[in-house]
Amino acid sequence: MAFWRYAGRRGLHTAVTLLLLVGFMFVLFRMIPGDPTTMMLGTGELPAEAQQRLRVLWGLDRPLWQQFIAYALNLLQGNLGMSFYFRRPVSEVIAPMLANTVLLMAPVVILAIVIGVAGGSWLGWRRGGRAEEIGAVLALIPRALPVFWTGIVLLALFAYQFRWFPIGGIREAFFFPENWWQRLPFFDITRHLVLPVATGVLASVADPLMIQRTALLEVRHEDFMVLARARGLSGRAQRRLARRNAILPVLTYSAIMVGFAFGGQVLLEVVFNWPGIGRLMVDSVTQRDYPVAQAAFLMMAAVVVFLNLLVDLAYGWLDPRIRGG
Amino acid sequence: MLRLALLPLGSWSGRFAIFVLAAVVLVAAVAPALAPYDPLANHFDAAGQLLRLDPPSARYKLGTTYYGLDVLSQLIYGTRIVLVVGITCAVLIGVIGTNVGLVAGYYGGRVDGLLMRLTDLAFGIPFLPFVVMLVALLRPSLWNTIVAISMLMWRTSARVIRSQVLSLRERGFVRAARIAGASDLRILYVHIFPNVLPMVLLYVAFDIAYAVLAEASVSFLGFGDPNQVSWGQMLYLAYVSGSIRQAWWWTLPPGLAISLFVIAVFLVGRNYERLTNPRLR
Amino acid sequence: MSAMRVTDPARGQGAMRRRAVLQFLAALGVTVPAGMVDAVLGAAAAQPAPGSPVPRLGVFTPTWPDMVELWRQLSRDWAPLGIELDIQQGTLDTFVAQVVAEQKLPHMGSMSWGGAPDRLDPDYFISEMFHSRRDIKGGLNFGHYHSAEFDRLADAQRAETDVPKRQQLVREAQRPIVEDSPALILFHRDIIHAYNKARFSGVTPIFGNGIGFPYMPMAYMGLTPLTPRKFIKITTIYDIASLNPFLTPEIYNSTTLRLMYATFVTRDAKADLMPWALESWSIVDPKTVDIVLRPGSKFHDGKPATVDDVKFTFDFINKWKFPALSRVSDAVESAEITGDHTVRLKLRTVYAPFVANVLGYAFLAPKHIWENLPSGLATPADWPNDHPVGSGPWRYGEWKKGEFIQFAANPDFFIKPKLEGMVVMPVPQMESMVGMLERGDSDMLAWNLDMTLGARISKSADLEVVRTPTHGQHEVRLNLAMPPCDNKAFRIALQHATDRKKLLDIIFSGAGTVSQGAPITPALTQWANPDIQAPAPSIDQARAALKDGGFSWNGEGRLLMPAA
Repeated sequence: MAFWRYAGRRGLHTAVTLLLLVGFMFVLFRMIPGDPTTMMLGTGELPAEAQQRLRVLWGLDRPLWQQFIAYALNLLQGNLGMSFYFRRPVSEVIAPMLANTVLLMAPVVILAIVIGVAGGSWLGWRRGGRAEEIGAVLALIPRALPVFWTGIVLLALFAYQFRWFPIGGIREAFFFPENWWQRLPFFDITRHLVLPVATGVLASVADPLMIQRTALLEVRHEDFMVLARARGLSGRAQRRLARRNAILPVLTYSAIMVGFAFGGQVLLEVVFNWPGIGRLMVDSVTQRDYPVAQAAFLMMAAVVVFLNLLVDLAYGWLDPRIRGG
Repeated sequence: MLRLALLPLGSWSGRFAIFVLAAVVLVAAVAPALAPYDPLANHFDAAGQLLRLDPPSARYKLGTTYYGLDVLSQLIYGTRIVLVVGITCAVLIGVIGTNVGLVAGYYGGRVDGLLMRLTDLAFGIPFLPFVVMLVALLRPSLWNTIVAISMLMWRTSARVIRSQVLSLRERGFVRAARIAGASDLRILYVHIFPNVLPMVLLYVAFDIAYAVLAEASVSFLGFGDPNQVSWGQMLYLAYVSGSIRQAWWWTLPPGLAISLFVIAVFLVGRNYERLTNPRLR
Repeated sequence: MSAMRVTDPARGQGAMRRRAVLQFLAALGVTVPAGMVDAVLGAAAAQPAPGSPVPRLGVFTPTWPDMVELWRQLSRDWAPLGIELDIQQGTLDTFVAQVVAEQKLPHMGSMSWGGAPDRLDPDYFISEMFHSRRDIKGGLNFGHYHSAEFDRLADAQRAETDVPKRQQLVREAQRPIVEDSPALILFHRDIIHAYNKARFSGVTPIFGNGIGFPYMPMAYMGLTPLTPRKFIKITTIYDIASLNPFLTPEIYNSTTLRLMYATFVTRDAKADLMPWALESWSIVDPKTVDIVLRPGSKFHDGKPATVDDVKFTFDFINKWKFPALSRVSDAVESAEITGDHTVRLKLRTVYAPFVANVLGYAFLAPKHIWENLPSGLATPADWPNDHPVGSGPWRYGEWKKGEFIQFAANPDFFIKPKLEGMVVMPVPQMESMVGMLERGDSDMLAWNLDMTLGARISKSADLEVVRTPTHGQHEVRLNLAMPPCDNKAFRIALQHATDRKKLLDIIFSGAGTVSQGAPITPALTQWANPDIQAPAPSIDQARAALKDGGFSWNGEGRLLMPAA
């Protein structure tokens, strides 16, 4: 019962956060100077009367509060509106870009967590030694490199110099395989994925690694570990026990990481010319395409907020003490 | 206090980090004396031709940029931007994050609820697109970039400080102070704050690093202050002029400089981390 | 918080913000290098008193590196006049939003205007940029130039259909621009494109278009494959936003769609007008034009294109008054079928650039498709038009947003493409575009290269760089509503202090044509005025002009406003 009360409260919090977000985004985007009707013309010409027609058509002539109510009502029905810039439903604009981003970021997140947990466990078990000191510093280095710079350097080496991988993009337009291995399914997409995924993993592996290491160090002092040692468990069995119990913080973190992966990787998308949601977000902001920008921000935020909710609920389920606070 | 300050010198990585940071501060302080040229001056060869993308030479030790500006001088002046961005952001983030955490943790209830929803909100907003949006709103300038970065990055320290305060709140010395009739403000800032200070400093240290990376990223996306010779701006200009591969002397130094600085900050932070969490020792 | 207040650039707030930065930096002990903080308090807002120092001059410029460099040069070159600049940058979108749409130009601003085909006719750069009628929100006369003499000439050339007479008027209209100097027209930067000559031959460089822009479709008609691959891969910087040709007036998008939707006329290899969807046209009288559809034309779906479609197109545009095609509905009053292939257009006013800018912009739309749109659309411009059907030389293949748009050759077009198809790929970074061309991932680089990259590309035996002049231009517009820019002596002094040749050399390695001070490039000989000349670059003459205008200098060398 207590858990369900807790779950209800957390659910309510989530709803409030999302509502705040919707309002915040709506106001913020309309504070950006610049009329969206002027954005589609570049430096072309658009007479004032024609512009006014557009404004009426797009509902921008109404008072702000009416626009907000219309927006909120549509949102409740799952209608994200029409993109100003593309003149298509926002969902149609966002969906393919989102799919591309998932294609890129899913391997990044999975690899970063797997490598991070493995490396962190290894380091955590060797605390205090010189190997650990060096290992920890080594793990920090890729985190300290600006991700776009890592990408550029990898591109310069492996795409321009050695020509092993393509320069960018998600696939080659009209790719004609020349031999049997190029004919393998997904060959083209895979070779386009290698460099951006490597860059993304380098940039994001340090956090799960350090978290896993810290968690492992803390777990070592827990009673059950002391007991395990006292009972004479083998080193391997001890390690497995410690790893299993130290995994929670990394799981929490991976929720955050998944969220960041959705929108935080604009730089990867820019450097590798990857048509993803991050670039769409930045472009739609500069193009004053509020409906798209709002929807993308909102979706991204919703993912983060829901993942956090899930993690909290999982904790609440596992650890009754949390439900009170 | 002195022992606290000298703590990073206890390990070789810490000594290295302190050396790097001291070097950056020193270079920033004497940049005009150290830089061979005005970082924004075009250089011409003897025949009056612009020295476009001139490779490193005795006169221009790190070569020139697309418009014939001296890379070394730009790199030297860039230390100032790094320090301004890092320190300003860290202070702003520290002030906002700490206060939100203190107030939310101490008062609890509705106040806590509201502040934590705001924190959730900040967590939910994608960082770079948001900064780009704010810069579009306020015009590209260094100060606006700093404000935009700080407006989101307080979220982590606020959450951590709050959870610290939650446990401190029930400790004996806080109860004693309350019984002795101390005001809330006094309890918060005189009794609780010193206890969360190590944690605050730790997060401030990491925030310096993240802020510097964020500024570089914003500049790289083309939303930086074009009048600044920031390292991120240098990389942006090298990139958009299509000189990345040709002019390695223009591409590698700023990237390496950012990385070195950020690594140094991380390492210092790591040494303090041992202080806040003895089990890591 | 009201929306009105925040759409204002909020000058007061800006000044406070900048002051805060300065104080803050000073507190940190940071000495600020010149131009580090875009700061001067109260710049632009106040009217300087007679005899007081000229305030720091506000400048708005797009964030492009060449523009940033331009202002670095000008700040230095103009310093001997005793003036300082307060440079503010924004993205192109911000420029359009604030300077064009809101008409909020600080003292001055810089812009580069591309060489769209409808700007080849001199009417665009003359009327749109300097006619007092266009000093309105959304108009390009954001420097507020008002001259009755100029307006008269600009109107006269627009209404003059006799070409030699019009030429004379156009040439005369450029004189007041040079004399009053409402803008510093700097130079016309050459278009530099590159292609793989081992794979394709038959490139057609066209004035204002280069070999690769889609502005003038004749550029692609001669392309011939030399290898078994019969389609060409072209990289450019932008992607299109929509497949609906009624939606967007943006140049790149609209011209790309017009590869499929043939315009009525187009420009040939010499950039002269030629019939395209039409077989011919004739001017019956200044307000009546007969157009003759090319017999045997077909749409991509195989249906014949007839005069019904021509009439439908104009009626449709007039009915819906599409913002993107307002120039068509503003010009054409009615369209009547007068023969098997002939349609008579009645114009609302006499408009000399009608053939170039209306018939060269309007396209033939298939009646059987646009007449039967699904209901529920606010306007046909909102229809996604996922499978465009036009009558142009290229058929729609596939569009993958952010990746490519693919066209297939239309063998039914009166000029048969020599290629089987084209793939146009948006690659937002120059670095990647050059790399793709060098590696053979693309066959043509159709975006503005600079000389340095051009020289690098030329080193490759298979690649060739092609330089083409253009009518597009870089300019600095002065805000004539704001002192001291309202003072002609001051403007002339700026002209003297601006060395166009040096700027072109530094910024674009000299690849371009230096302007004579008028908005028409000297390369466009039929319209340029050979007798005008921009003031010679000379700091002494600049200072002399200021002195003659009553300006003086204080002890520190700062320029002072003329005494009352």
